[in-house]
Amino acid sequence: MQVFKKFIKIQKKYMVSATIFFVMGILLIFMNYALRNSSTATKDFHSMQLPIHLTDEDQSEVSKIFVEYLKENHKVDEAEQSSEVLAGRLYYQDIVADVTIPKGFGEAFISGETPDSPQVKSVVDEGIAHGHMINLQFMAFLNSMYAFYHSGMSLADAAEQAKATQTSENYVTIVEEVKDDGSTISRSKESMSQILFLCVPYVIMSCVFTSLLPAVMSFNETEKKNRENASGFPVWKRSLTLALGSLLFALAFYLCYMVCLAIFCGSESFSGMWMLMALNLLVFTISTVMMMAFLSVLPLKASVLSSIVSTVVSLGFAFLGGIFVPLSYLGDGVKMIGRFLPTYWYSMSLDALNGGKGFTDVLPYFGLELLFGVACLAIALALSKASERAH
Amino acid sequence: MFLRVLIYRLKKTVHDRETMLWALLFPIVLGTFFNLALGSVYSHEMVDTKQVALVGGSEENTKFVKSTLESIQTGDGTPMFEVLLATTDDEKKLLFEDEIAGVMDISDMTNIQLRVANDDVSQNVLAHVIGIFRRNAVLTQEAMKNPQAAAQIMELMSQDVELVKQVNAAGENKDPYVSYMYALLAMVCIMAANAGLAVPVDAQANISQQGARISVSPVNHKMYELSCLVAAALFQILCTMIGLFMVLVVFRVNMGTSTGLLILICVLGTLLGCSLGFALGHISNLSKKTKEAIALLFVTFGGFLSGLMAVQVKMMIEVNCPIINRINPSAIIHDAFYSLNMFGVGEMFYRSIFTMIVMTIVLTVIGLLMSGRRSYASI
Repeated sequence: MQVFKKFIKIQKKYMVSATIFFVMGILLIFMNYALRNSSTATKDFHSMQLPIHLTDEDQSEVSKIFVEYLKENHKVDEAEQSSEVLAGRLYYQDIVADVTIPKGFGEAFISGETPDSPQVKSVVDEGIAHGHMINLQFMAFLNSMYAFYHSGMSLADAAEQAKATQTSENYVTIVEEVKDDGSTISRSKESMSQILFLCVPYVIMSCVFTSLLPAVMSFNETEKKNRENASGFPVWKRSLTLALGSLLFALAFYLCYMVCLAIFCGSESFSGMWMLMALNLLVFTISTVMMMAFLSVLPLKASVLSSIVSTVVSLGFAFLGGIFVPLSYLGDGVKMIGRFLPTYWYSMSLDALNGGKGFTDVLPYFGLELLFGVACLAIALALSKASERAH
Repeated sequence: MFLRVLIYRLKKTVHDRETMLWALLFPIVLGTFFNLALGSVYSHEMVDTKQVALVGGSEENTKFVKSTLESIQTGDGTPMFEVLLATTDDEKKLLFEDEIAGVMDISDMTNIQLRVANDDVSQNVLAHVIGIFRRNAVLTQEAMKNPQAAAQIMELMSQDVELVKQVNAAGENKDPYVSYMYALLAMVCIMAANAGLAVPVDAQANISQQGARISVSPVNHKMYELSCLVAAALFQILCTMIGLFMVLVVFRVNMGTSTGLLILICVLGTLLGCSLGFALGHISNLSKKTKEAIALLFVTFGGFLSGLMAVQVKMMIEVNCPIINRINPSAIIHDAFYSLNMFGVGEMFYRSIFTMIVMTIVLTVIGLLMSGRRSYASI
């Protein structure tokens, strides 16, 4: 109990760093929640809804129809923004296109095209597929409406007919892959649970490394260790208390994040998939504590470990393990390295669970996450023993 | 005396091998991780040729649809689709094993159907192309209903009306994932705050023996600290330069501007980081650990706000609360890199450079002013 009390006392000194990372974690969850739509498994084809910025300088009947069409099919932002901000939003892919309907466009549309007619200006990154897709959609709709209108239809009828021909849900079908047992394989997009669960390991690692690691390391200082060795308190009891204390704090972080995830995941919370994702995070948290035990026995300064090394480990693991970048985007070489990291198996588990797989399918992944932790713990114990013998 | 203190401080830094090694390794290791993970992300988002299968069409229709699909090209002339001719029996194999974009059933040209395995970009492009075929089908029906207008309608179907003008977005290098490298370099610059923080902490009589000796020595305290700060800055600039070298030469990242300007930003950014730590270290009523925690806040949380963990964060702040980006040192350094890539040397670049210089001067002056106001009542 004395060791535990001291551990808590030392731990309190590092609560500022832990709070910083904890708040950062909440912000990451909130940001991902705000940025991405919940796109749960669906059997129907849905036209891609993309974020675009729109400026209607024309305010004509034609431009209003086009604006209405865009609003029905995309996430349209009409807020007035400087060209600097809009260029930045395009660069960071916060928007896919910056569309401007110039003054006189509607008039030229009605009277028929001339070489110097005003055109809808669409600024996109021409290198990416989304840019091409959205421009093709604009052209398809406007050209269809133009053709229908000039073939003799009224503007309203032309717009309706153009919308009807462009409503892909009417003529596109998603074919489901059928497994040998007759069940179907869902090729669904990321669910909200997967998106939100994916960003937590980084903050769990950061919280553990910046707050628990220095506290545990302070018990490894030579003078303190010598005093403890001279006392009648068994070494194994001290180690066990420290391990349980660390685990307790890590679980406290875990529980706090679980509450947040339960709130943000909405209707997906407490579903079978969500519960397994929660179990996945729990396994990862335990593995992180074991990893922390390994770092604590490294012969490095506490300040170096808790700032530089922990930043390198947490960010490195997050990037190489598919936390910040989807696994499908990583090259084969990176994936090969990633296989040795718990973050990789964590991401793999989330992918599998989102794809409809069950507990038995992801159990090996959980095992590999835990195996990494156990290996770290074993090395930590061996190093600790070796250093004690040398001492 | 200034030079003597500077040399001894540099020696002290070099002798602390562990800290030195990690400070030098940090940009190398993290940069390598970033490069490995992010190097190919943008290429995944770029347009590449996808396969599409045509089934059920007559020879004439197949030929017409095939030529139409093959004529769709990107700006650089890359065809968007490669057309395969297949039968309905091959459909599932093509969709699930060969992972083609989709299967177009053209048995009825007035009602073309598309079957896909998922709803991604290529499938959406195909859907819009089919929309154009369906428009032509409607127009043909209109022409049949109204034979007098048939010629005009046929002309409309073949007419290539240019109602949309596509403009390419700004930026020398449009890969948004390069901004992770900006954020990394900004983080390396701001990490110099730890070295800046160590200067006043080491000189504090109630914290270290060295500080006590310095306090009783006849050396000018302000000059001593300034000299130590210069030494710390010199070493940190070396660390940042190694990071920049890795990014430019080893990883061959296109930062979108000349090396000279990048070096200027790195030097100013590191000086800003050092001065930030220096000013922070002089907040005398706070403990060393609290000061370190505040430095960590600037390094990590500032990095987070400047897009180190997710590139979209900085833009979200720019749209909703731009003042944070104007005062967050990491975001200011990040902005300087970003502005050069996007707009070249211009208003935004000058604003960032000016802010960095002003902040460095102000923070250093604050630190120096506070350095003379310390008293140790308990001694």
